[in-house]
Amino acid sequence: MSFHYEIRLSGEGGQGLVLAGKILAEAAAIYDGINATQSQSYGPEARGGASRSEVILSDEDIDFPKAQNLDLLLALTKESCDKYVRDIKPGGLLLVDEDAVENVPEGQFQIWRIPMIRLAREKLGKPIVANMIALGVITHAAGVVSEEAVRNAILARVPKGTEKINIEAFDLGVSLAKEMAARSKA
Amino acid sequence: MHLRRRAQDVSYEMDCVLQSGRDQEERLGLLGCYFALQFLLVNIRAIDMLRLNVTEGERRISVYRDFLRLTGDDYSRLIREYIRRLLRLFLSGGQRPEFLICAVGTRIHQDDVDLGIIDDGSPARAALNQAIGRMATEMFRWSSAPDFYLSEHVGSRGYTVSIEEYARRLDERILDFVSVTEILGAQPLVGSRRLFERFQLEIHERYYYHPDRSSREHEGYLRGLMGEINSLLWWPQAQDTIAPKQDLLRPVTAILWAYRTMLGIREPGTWKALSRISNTLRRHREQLRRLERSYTFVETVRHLYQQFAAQEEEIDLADADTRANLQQVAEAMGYEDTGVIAAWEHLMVHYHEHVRVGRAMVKALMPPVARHIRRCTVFGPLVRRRLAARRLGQPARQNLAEGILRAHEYFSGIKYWADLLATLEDPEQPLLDALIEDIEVLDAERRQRVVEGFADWAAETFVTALHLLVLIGRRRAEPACARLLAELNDAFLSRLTGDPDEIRRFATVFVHNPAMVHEYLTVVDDASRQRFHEALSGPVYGEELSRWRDRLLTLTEIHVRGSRYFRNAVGRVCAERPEFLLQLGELDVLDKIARGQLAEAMRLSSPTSQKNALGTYYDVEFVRAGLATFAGHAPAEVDAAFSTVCDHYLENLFDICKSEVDRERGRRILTHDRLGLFVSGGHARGRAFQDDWDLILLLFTDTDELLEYSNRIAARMNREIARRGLMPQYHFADRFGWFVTPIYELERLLQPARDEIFVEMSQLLGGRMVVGSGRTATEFYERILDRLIFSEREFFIAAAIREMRSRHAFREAKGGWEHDTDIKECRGGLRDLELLMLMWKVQDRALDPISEGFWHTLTGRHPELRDAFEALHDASQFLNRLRDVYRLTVAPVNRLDPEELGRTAALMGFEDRPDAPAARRLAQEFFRQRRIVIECTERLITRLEG
Repeated sequence: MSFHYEIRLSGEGGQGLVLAGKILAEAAAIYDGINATQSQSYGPEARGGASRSEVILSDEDIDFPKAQNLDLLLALTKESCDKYVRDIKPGGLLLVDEDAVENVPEGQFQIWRIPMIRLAREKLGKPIVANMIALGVITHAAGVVSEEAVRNAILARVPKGTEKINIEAFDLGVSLAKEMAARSKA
Repeated sequence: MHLRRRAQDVSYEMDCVLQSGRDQEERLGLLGCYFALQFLLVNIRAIDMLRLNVTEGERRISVYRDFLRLTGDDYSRLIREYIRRLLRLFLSGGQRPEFLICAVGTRIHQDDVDLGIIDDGSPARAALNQAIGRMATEMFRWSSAPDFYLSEHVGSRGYTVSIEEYARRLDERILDFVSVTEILGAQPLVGSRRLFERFQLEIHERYYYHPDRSSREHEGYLRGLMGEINSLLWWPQAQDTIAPKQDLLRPVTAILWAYRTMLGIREPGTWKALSRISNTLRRHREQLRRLERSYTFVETVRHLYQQFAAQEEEIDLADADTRANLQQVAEAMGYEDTGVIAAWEHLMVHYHEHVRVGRAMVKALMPPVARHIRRCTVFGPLVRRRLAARRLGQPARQNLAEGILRAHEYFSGIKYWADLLATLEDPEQPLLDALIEDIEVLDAERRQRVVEGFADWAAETFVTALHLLVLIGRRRAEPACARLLAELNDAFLSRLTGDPDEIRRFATVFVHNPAMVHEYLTVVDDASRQRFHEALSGPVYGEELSRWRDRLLTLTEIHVRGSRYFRNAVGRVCAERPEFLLQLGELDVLDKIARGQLAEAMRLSSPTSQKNALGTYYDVEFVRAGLATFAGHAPAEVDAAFSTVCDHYLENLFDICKSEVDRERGRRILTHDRLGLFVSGGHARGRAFQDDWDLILLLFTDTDELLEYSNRIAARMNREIARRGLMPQYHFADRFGWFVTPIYELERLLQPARDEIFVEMSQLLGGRMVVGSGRTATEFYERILDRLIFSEREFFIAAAIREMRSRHAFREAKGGWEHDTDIKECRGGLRDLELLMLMWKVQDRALDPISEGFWHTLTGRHPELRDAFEALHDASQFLNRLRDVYRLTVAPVNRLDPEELGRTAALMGFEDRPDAPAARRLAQEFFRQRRIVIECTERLITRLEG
């Protein structure tokens, strides 16, 4: 059966969302042979504010580049959550940073609250790898791209010497997603 | 008896010569002289007959064969009679053992006389040994030197070895395949026939296949032969020399002996054996026929060269004297000068063709031998028992790892283990799982012994070592495999000494299977790569070896110094065309390969193959650009060359995807004047090593059909581009929802000019057309650049300055410029340089691309600002090179990690000093250059604002 999966990663400049989007798209396109496009907002670093990166995954040609009916939205800031939440399709998933986004808007979608930035700081000592935790959660939640492919893509992208911590962060994200999925079923 | 004629009866004439001597010394002298004379006459006569008989075409080979047989028979007879008489002289009177002297070499080879001597082991052997010693001295004076390889390698003292001594020695461990081949090829010259029959029964038969008894010795011999063939075939033919033995004769002899022992063919002589094998294996008849032809030709060249020139195994073609000698060989073989082509050149063309065909035939004959080994190997029952137990969930009766090592003890030194590795690799047979499980259950001491045992084994055969490590490394995500990989690899590397022979062995593996070396370097850790690199860095001798070693070193250096981003490009090349890795380091050759790939891409008929070939073109060029950067080529040169490659790639990809869509739709749509593909961002500025490409597909018409059609082309292109590790970015797709942007929509968007669309204006201003016509370029210029951007000069410059200032403030608030190491976005970084160029482009209404060359253009236009533009040009060069090298050595990211700058600094020519390590000095230079950018930028902005 064919599939089409739309993901938007949103937050603020400097949170590594563009990198996370590229890794996910590369994992799909290069390592798993799935069609993928990735796009990003321009110049966010200059102005601050909302930054976003979109990934579309499909086993067919992706003719329409813009993510409009999101299967999954990651929001690492309140502002980005408010701005993009309306694009989640019914039955989709909203993944928010628990500490950064209070009063999560309700809708016809699932909500996963995970303190990704705090976990990155407390468990791994580097808040900058929150994006990799998010990537782990998304990979498992979406179930479209294999974990192995994402690990390979992470290793291909991150600087030498940082592979271990990035992979640990990703694995932490996967295990958090497993917990969340189990909790949702229960 | 006529001394100037070839003897009709050598035996009779030798006896006559002996009778004419007055004492022993004179008899020996006369006999030796007679031998030497006959030796010459035999060879002269044979060559005269060859000259007479050679004809054109097919018949030639049979003439060569007859010539070799005749010469071999004559020479063999002469030697036999000479030895008989020498022994008669030296062994007269006294006790003597029962003995046998055998010829154990190739009959036609006259450079030495390979002899094997068997006796009954009785005390009387002392007299025989003394006689053989004297005989050897005499032969050395008058004939070819005798060689007693078997005695040296099997016997303990003296020239003779008894059958019992042979048996004892062979029971202990495998004999090297050279000795075994001599044993099997032994033909009695002088001595006891009874002893020879016993020797055949008790020694020869050990190496023939007998389905009803242990095949351990037979297996060991076959493995030895296969290892020899591999090592000869894997090493490429030298370019400036020929070496008939290495080139073909040894591999042919080895494969024929493999078949002889497998099929039970016991007749002596290569041609007879070939004929018997051919009659037995009818499906290989044609291969054997071609093998026989090539073998005969090459053997003839070797024999004649030794007759005319020198007993050298390696013939240097660059030497004029050698070529003159080869001319004689060629003429004797029936070749003539034709026009400007000399006979020897004709000969060499045919020589290389025969070597090529002969090697191919040997290769084609190897798989049945490999299958035979798999069937009869002593490892078979061990493996089958373990797998059966595992399948039934029963405990192993014998630890597999220990069992394999124990069985291997007998085969020490053997290099051919491809069958065992294939079984380990076979997903249907979980042998590797069983092996790893069995190693995991061992206690520390036994585990250590097993690891050391495998490492010893690995050190004997590097191809096996790397293959095994790769198989384990592929599963390094499993903790048990990761642990074993680390231990085994460490033990293997610690056995390396870095001597030239080791380097040659590694180079051979590389030439044979570059993909495996690449994969080995991929699965091991950084420290291991460094150790491997060091092991390869020692001195080597010979141009040929030096060339291949250097290419292997280049691959290793990419793994040691390169980022994954760079290594992945090498990996992509390796996946499609592993043989290209053999040319690493040869930038010109890579260039030719890449061009060939591009031509191939356009020649192929299926779009999928076209896209693959085109992708490989891009990847090879990427690797070439990376290597050029490593080699210190100027960034501007690398960038310019690679930008052209990217443009070619996109142009051709567009054409392929367009054809594909046309084919699906069943009709062709013309887009020539209606669609333009523009690149923007880093690619448009001529920057290599991008991780994404900013693309703008502009549609110059408003038909919905063309919009949908172009969008499908873009979707196809995106899929392909992403496979290269590049993410295509369509900025305007965000605005309009299509990859393709209709120009009228763009015009609407850009009016009126306002801050909100500043980024879009920048993208368009930096855009460069890659696909399109002169008309689309003009229309883009008139409707967009000129009317909507250049005309908004004041707005654009003011907006660019606001953008720059606001970014500086934002980043300053995040931690100050001295902590900001984002080479692109930091103050004084690449973004500032880009914005500055865009401002000046608008200011001057320039059509030049925003590349480093633009600084020169500005210098020409504004000579009063020369110093500032030149300083910015230099700073830009530095920053761009830093960015490129960082991407190739660390990662494709913009934020530089000061702790990771070491390799980047080394490649950029910074050296460690006592007061400051290279990385710190590079960081200091990075800040110094940024200060220059900041100062010049402020000055130029002030000028623009004024």
